[in-house]
Amino acid sequence: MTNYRHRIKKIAVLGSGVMGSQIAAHCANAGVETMLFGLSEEADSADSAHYALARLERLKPPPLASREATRYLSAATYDRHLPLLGQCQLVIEAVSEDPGVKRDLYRRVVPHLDEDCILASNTSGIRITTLAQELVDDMRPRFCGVHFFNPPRYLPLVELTPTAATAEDTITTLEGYLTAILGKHIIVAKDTPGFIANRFGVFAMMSALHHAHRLRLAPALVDELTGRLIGRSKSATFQTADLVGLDILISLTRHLHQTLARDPWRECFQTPQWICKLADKGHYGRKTGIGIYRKDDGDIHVIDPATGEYHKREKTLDDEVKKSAALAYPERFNEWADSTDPQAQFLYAIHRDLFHYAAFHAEQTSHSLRDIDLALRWGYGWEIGVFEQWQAIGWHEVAQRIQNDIANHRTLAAAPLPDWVTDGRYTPAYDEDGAFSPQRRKYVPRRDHPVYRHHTPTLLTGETPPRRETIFENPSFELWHDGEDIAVAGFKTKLHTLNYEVIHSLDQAVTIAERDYKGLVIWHQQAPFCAGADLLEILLAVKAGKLTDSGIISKVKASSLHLIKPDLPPVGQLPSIGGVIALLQQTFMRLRCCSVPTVCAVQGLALGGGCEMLLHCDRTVAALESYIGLVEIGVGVLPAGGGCKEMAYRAFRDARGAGIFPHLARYYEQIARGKVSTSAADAVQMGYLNRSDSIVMNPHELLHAAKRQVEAMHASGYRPPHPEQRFEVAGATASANLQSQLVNLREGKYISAYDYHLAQVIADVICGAPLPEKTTVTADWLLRNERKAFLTLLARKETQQRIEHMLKRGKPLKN
Amino acid sequence: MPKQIQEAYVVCALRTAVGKHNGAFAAERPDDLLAFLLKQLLEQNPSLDPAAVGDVIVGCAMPEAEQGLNVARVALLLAGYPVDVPGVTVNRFCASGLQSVAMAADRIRLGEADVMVAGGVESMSMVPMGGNKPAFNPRIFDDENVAIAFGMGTTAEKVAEKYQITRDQQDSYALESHKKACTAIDHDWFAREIVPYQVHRLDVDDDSGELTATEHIVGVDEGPRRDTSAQALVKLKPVFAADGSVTAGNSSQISDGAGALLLASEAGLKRFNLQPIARFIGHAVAGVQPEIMGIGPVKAVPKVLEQTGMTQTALEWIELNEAFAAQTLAVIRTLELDPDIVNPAGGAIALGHPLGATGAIRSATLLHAMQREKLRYGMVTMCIGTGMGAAGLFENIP
Repeated sequence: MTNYRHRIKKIAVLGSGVMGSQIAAHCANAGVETMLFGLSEEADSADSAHYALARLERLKPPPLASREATRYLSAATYDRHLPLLGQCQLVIEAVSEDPGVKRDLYRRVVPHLDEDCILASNTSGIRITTLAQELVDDMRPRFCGVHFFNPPRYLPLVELTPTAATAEDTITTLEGYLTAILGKHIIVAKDTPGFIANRFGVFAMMSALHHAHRLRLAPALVDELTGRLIGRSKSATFQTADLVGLDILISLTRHLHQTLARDPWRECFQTPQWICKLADKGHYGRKTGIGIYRKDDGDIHVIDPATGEYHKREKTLDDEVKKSAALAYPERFNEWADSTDPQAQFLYAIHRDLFHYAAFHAEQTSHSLRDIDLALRWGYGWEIGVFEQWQAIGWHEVAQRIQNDIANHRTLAAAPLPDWVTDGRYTPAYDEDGAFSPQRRKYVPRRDHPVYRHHTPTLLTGETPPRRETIFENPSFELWHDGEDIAVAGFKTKLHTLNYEVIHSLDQAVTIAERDYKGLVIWHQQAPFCAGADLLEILLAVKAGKLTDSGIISKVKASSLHLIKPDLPPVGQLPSIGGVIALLQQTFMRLRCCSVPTVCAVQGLALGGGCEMLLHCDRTVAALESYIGLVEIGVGVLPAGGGCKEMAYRAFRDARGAGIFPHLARYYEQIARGKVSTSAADAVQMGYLNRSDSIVMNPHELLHAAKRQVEAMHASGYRPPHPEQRFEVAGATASANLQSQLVNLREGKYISAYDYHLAQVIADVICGAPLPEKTTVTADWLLRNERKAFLTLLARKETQQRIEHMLKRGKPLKN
Repeated sequence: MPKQIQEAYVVCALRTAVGKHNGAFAAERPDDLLAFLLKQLLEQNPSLDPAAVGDVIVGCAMPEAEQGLNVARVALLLAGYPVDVPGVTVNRFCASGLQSVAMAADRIRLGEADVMVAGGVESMSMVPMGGNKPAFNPRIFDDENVAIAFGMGTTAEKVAEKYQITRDQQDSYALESHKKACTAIDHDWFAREIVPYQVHRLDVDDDSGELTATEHIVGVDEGPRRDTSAQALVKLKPVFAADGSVTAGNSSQISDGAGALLLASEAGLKRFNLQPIARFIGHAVAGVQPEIMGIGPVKAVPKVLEQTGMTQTALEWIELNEAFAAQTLAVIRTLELDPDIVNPAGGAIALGHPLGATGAIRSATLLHAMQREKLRYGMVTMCIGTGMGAAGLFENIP
């Protein structure tokens, strides 16, 4: 077994540009000593590593996951610090994309490297083999391409590109290190221009540009069509261009155009004149504040390519197209293909072109079709890859349409589909043996590396899931195990929200886990962990008058409710909100006090009830990218799943007999502002995670790590905390102190009158007012106060407006 | 006229330089700053028998932690005063330092002491405004007393709104304060009142693990900025209200410092052969609405003038504490003060405002200014949190 943290103890990143400094920042996030090399020594020179490190604090989204991470970073210069490279086991070069510059740098650097040190280039454009030729013979086995995607902290993909001379050990070490220590997802690419993700990702953009021009679709409409609607990234086409930078995009396409001499689609890699003109003016997009889009007084304006003028962005998506996008893959693809609507034609054309292009180039660029799908998912943020979609639509149908279009000169290039697509022997893309490899003419499994042994990667459409046994299941919930004596709970609701069925099932799951298993893990294959309570269910119950059990629902109301939410239980069985909240509190308290260990495996959002759930488990295993917070105030309520109670308890615990207020004040402010952590490390600072909780760099390791926590607790004779949680409250004076701050915020018009009211209610509950300081209370008492306050607030029209607004707009209403 | 049996005179008025928040005095304990000044009073008046000091009255706005435990008594013992000398700490927030002078003078005027020491001390770096454990009474939120909870900045916004003091006027005033303070420093106006103080700084040498001590003398106020400008001030964002006008640039600075004065009766002067520099004329305090506390001097100034039978026109130098430019301008306008005689050496926006020390510090500034400029009557006045104003009158003795 290789201890990767020992194998690579220190990293140097050469090049203090936006990419180099962010790669260094991510190494620091992983707790690895990292030196960043810049040209200049002057702290205020843009060429210096000092400057680059200071700039990290200003970049958005933040490259650093915690303040602590900066302690792992140091600045260096080529003139003074090259001898320090001898301490590094990995050197990542990220200087400008100029072969001459890179060659000269390698000549200076290599003499200082230790004989174990790996040299890797982050180039996205230059062939790795070309760069390797500049190296001395004994360096070539330890040289490889490592292509990170911007922003490197957030985009999981790293393309590893070995040359023929790269040693197997170098590839194995890098794959293990980048996966286990930096938490990245690896694809091994062939050394072709643009490698995999950019080759197909940029082609997808170029094809969209071509058809947008042909069908006269405006940029804003193209972005509506090519974003989440079809499972691609939210920033779609033109926003992605602005985000990447038009200058970068132009140099990327120019490079592809130059190097893809024999690519039949070569002429597609030309940036339209109007985009070049923008770049000539220095309007590069996000980084210059103006590009294809421009923000004016909060409104978003978008350019008209024909005139160069900016207009307010408007939504012009056809309802028909919107409806068709909700259909299953075969139906929607066929509908687009047969439609005369320009928007539908556009969607058909960009899909067909990408299928055509990807099939033609798959053998030359990648080891299997899976690599292309994963590259677009991990590097471009797509929800589904090219060949997954093709397979979902129907292999032969798509192939037939492409062939027809080639014959009718409708495709962007006349190149025929490769024989493996058409001869019927190797279809579809995925079968039970894995993904098709055009090069080897067989189906191949995922990469075999010890580091993947405990991974639970997201399955691609068509891949066979690992075996697991369902313990019980309903439309909202599943409890299962995979033979390890550990029960795993997962929610099937949208954004994994908590509805009545989930809460009720979780309660049952605890009972089953106590009886039959070593412990319980709450885990989801994909983020979010849990976005909170099902607001729609709450709002409907409020409208139905079911705040408490004494509420009466009229038949008219009930039937209209079922129209909106057909899966709502029958009228008579509709539980009251008071009852559901009591069950929620009781279930979370059971997570805390039951006789087996409970562990939350968190990635992405853990908001409101999701946060309260992890607060009550024995332990949390969180991916670095975990965004945790008690945000209830945004929808006009307070944390009532034990969140106020638990933070009041934690303040008491932290105070260790001294004043509770300073500790509570910090927790309170987070709740009153609805603050969300920017990472798991930040959540530790905020007190939502404990120091004993684990932070996992690679989300694919979450389930494994969580199960091991259960086992460790089980093996050490798990003793649950005392069932009656007792602690001292901060009291009425503490609440008055908090109110004194609110008064000033209200007077300064920073908060509305209703914000003030909500914050005041939360202050009273969390401080245990009107009790005096240090009065001992039980959890039950505080939970009852949470519940009462929750129901009182729900009855207010301002709260109902906030909930409705959140459901409609997805963001908090300020009222 | 107040009933008194004898006059009270100021013999000596000293202060430390004023340090910025977490600046020169960040690691200096306030009781040490105060003890240093108390000792200086004795050293500069060697003919005085310390045992004759009737009481040491010290103002402090947050009398707790490093400036707690009755800081007056602790400091006088640290300064080597005989154990027979008592000490008392008084608190009237920002007027504490002036209150101590008035109370010391009153002991003398009543005939119950012939020699008194007054002073003020505050380390806002060590003890935050509001103290280490704020504990508001929940009942204040029930009615109009809610303004007790208002931050001082919030009250400044209320004053700016009520008295229509614009952002521009506040910023211009702040800029002037800095300019005047810098000019005063350049002309050595504070030389006679400031006693340079040696600060000690301890660090750990990372390589050797040894402690390294560095010392330097602090003899100049840290607050005044020569580089500030209208352009710099206008860029600052309001900090107390979303669409407000009060900024960090047009508010007083958070500071550390101390002041101390020696007072005596005529008998005391004669007995110990002391030379007076001023006569204490009188002092008044008055209350206003807490939510516009900055306007306090508007009631205190007429009150002290009436009490002492003096007229405003007789005043030739006024130290009006600049808690905020907004309230300073509102007071100047309402009382129709002559702007030329208000804070000619700059004010708290530039020089800093170590809460409970300010009254003693600005008294020292006034008395030395009147000596230097050969003026006759002067006044120290300020607003006070929770809604009060204080004013004290002095007559120069050339």
